[in-house]
Amino acid sequence: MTTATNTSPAPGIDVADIVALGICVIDCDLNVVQWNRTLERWTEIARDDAVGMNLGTRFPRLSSPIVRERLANVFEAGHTAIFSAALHKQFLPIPDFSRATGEQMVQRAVVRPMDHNRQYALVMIEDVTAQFHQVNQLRKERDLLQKSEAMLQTNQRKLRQAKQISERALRAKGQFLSNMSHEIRTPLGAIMGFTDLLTDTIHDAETLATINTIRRNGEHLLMIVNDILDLSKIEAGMLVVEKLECSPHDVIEAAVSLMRAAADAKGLQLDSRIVGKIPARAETDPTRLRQIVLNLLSNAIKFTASGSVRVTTEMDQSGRLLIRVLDTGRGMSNSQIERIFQPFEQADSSMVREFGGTGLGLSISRELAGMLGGALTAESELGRGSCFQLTTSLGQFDAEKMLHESCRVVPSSDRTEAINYVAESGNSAPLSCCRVLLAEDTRCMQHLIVRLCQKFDATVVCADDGHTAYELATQAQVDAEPFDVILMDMQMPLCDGYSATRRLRNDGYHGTIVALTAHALEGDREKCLDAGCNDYLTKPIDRTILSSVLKKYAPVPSA
Amino acid sequence: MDFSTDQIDALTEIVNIGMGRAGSSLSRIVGERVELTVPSIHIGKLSDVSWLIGEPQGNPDTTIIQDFEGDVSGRALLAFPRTSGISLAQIISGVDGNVDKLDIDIGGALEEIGNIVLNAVLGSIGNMTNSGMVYSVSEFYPCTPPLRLIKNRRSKVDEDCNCLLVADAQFRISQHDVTGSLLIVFDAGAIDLILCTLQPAGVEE
Repeated sequence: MTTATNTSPAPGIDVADIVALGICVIDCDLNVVQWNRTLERWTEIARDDAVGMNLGTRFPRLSSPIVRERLANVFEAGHTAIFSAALHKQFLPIPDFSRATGEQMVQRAVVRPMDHNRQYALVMIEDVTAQFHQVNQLRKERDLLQKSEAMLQTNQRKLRQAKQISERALRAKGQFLSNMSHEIRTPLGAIMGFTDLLTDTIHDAETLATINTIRRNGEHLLMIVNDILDLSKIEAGMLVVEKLECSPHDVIEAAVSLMRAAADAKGLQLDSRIVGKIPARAETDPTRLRQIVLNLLSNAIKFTASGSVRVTTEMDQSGRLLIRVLDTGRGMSNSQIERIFQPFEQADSSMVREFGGTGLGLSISRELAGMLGGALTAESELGRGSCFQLTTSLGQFDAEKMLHESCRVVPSSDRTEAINYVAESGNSAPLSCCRVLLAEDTRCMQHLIVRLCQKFDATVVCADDGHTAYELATQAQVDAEPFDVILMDMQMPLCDGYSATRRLRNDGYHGTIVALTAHALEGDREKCLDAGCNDYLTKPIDRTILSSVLKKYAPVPSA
Repeated sequence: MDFSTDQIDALTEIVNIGMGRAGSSLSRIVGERVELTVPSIHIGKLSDVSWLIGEPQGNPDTTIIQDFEGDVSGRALLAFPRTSGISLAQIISGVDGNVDKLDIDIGGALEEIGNIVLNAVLGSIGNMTNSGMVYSVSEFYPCTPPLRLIKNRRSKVDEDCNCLLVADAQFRISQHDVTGSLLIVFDAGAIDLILCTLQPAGVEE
């Protein structure tokens, strides 16, 4: 007999004894011819006892028809047979000595003929217990991971649903804000507009004082409404700041100029100056910058009984615009400073009674400062005054065009509508040639605007809804007496201003259409212009701005 | 050498017989009916493998090979697209869960399945041609397309002869259909020898 175990190149060493495989040689009757040391160790059957032993008798499993048939094929057909751990777990029943639990060794076995005569077959048994258990452990971990992943996906799905619900709620809130804006501003506009008209016609001092009180309270109420709307927009993420080229100095000067009367009334000195150099033009949102500076100035004047309010503008070390508003007022403690930037908070509750206000201004201003790429902070000392520091990003600017302390700049356009129109309007020159079609469903607003237009000597025709406005505008064109300006309220029943404007433009109407809307939300202007309007005015209607707009589009009177 | 319809039929029958035996062996191991079908046999040249593209179904990259030597020699391969291989091994070994990798269990099961199928088919060819063959131990390649394993053996193969036999196999077990491909590349002259042996009496080419 020749076996593979006799081919060792090292005399006296049997290769089969030095490998970590169980190796035996069997004949076609499954009698053992060779038995290596590994098998001795695994089975505790000594080589001498094993040789001549019948494997099928000693291990009955090998006599099962399935195994028997495949072993027979090794001898009869010369096949090699693989017995995998996956399908058989073990070839020989051997305990797993590495485990004290009485588990069996997991094996992979290969049986192949040893010679052409197929008298003998080599059996090689590999212990794969460790790998097998590792795989099982990995499978358990994988199952756990899959469960965790499934839970994660479920949670993600729930989060997505919650996000959708939240987004729907935000959209609903946005819609609510839009509606509230309209509902509150329309009557406010009427109140303020009519008090404005009354001041022109009444000369009795006591009545005039009463009307002025109404007007002041209206303005205050409007400011509160605007603050609440701003805060709501910020919270809903609907407030978007613009990035426009403008003169920061002009914006600040305009705010200072606007507050000068209030400072004068309290006998406060109000001044503004540039420290060092600042860019003549920069990129920021002039409307929001002005809003913050006005708020800081208003507070400073409000809480300063005597002395001064000073505004300084400079560039800080990181290249941002730094605006300081310093006052010699009552000052605040550290704990008060912490509270003043919280919504609806003032330094202490007694201030609400004494000075009024909603406590929203600084909270909004801080949010806006952040949106402008900067911050709003405060330093103060009780009894010594306060210093509010506003920083904003300057965007792109020309470093060669700088303003310095000695410059005196005449305020120019900073894209703030009011400033624009006031600058352009000049005085109240008559608009006797101007024919106006007013589309407005609210009677009192209709009445107010008609009265204002009549003051400018303009001729006004009224329409109660968009459909009537369309009919009147079309007919006027047919009659060769077109209107110079259509003032179109955008929110009207039946046919709103958007539909009426689109319909007119679709019919080729080229006349001027100016949107009137109480909406003050981001994007409303674009929405009106997209519908075909030439211009956009927000309610409450400022008579100066209305006059400017009418002049802008009215025909020039012939000499 | 081109093959006549009769020759192709004869080869198909040989492979079919082998597949039948393999199915029986697998059935006895897993205790369920395992059916192996051979819908079609293709024979072509190794030098022009374009005919093979798309033939081993899917993109097989799980391959078991077994060489055979003797009067007829060559290399037999059983190849599966990975997902099919995993499914087959899972069904046969009773492993459940979403397995996407070939671990020791799944690889071991596929190795044994390949061993049984290739033994059966090659044994069938050996029996029909009455040629003595010596088989290597089958080897399992979990991430290797079969054509790469055929190229290893090219030195012994006449690439311009019709030496490659491809049989698309379908395993049907427990309501599942799993597909794979059986490929046999014969060394130079081997396939001619088989066909000569199979030449029916009185049939002239």
